[in-house]
Amino acid sequence: MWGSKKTAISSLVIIIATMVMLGIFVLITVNIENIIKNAEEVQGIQVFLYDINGDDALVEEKVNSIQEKILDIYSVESVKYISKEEGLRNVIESVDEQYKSLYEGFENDNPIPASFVVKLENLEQSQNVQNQLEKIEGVKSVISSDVATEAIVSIGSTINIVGIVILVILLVISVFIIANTIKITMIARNKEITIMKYVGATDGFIRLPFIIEGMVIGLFGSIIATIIVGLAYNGIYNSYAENIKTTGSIIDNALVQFSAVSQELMIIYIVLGVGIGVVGSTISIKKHLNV
Amino acid sequence: MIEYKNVSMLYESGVEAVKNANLTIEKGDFVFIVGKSGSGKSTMIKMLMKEVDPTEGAIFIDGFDITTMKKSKVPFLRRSMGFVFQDFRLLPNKTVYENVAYAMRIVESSPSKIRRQVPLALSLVGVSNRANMYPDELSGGEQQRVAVARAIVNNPTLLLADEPTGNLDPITAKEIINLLNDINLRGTTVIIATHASDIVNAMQKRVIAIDKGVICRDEKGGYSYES
Repeated sequence: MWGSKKTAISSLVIIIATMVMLGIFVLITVNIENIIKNAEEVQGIQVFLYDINGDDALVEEKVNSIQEKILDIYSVESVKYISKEEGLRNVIESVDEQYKSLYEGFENDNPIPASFVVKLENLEQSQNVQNQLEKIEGVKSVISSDVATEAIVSIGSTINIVGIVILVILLVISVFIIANTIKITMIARNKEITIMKYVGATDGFIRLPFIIEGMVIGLFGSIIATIIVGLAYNGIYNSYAENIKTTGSIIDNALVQFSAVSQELMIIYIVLGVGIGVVGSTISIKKHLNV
Repeated sequence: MIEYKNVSMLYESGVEAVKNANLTIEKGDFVFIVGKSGSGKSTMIKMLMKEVDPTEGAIFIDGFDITTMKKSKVPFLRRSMGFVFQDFRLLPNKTVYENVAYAMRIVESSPSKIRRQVPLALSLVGVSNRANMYPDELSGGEQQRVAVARAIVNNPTLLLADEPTGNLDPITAKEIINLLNDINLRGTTVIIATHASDIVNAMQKRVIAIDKGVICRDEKGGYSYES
């Protein structure tokens, strides 16, 4: 009996470990997605144009033509035209008061080129879009939004792959350990199972308590893992909120509150926990129910 | 009616437990299957309860060939039978009452039917006063009586007993056989595999003798391998 209790506890521990890993993975992914979403909202690619000589009508025609070509590129969400004058005004606004007068002298000989700010639907396409922008006639230079964004996108993809691999391994181990626990329980109750079979119990009748046992282990694992992940994440969130002040960068408000994901996480946990329990016990029963 | 038709059983180990057995057991019969250890008598019982299937031939119960029966139907076949074993096979963590009630619960009998039937079965085998005790608090004879109560509580048409007196002293063994005889007199077919010659001799019932897997005698009388 104690042997089966010990294995039940080890099953519980491995399920909790799996769930905690899953929680970490989900929370990292959610947060990276949030950072990328923030970045997508804030950032854009700047496309500077060669000066266009001619009257206003010609300038407008050329600008419209370039704008259409930009909009045709896959993953471009929106394009905003910034004229030379507007560009200069933006620069003057962004510098400190003491330097403003320096720029004001440029009003009659504006060195700031006209530009487009291109926003993307998907930041992963950033490099591809930049390459295509550079090929458009009339484009002088293209400045990418933020190197950090690209790094985050790349880290995000890596974490996704590594996370999925680790998760699959842990899931397989969990199923195996649950199967083993149920096997030990079945061996301990072998006499009872044999008697049940002799008096005409159907396989379903015999299976049910073992499947319920697997489900209960999975469910308990899910609940405990939710508590562990919730407490740990809230701790990290609170210390982050205290230490990080508004920096104007994309990591502002990067951390998602646990309450925003707790419901989804709980559902994933319960479905997965119960699923692992049912699959593990079913495998074990199928192997050992031949009386 | 039970019919063994050209039944042979060859285990994977290579042991040929039963060789071309042909016999008929009528409803309400009381039959001893006798033979030495390893003669094949237990295999004859195991094939009836579908614990093993013959490698050749067919076994019919009331005209149905149980050898071709689907695995999912086996529990329903077993519900028409009762089993008694040498080692009693009672659940140690359940009381006498619960052990017997358990057999009814498994076949999904209603609680009111369980409350009615279990005391009747316990009374029939003479252990009513042990209802709240656990198996390890009972003597071997009492445990076997509880096992018999469990075997008959669902009113089976066939009762199979494999060495039911093997763990009992001669007097208790006789009592158990008398109990099985009483059950037979109520209309249940009883088949007992045993090598207890004194009991077989005392009962003078139909005896099917098996030697090395071959039925060598089938007639009313005492314990013998020769007609």
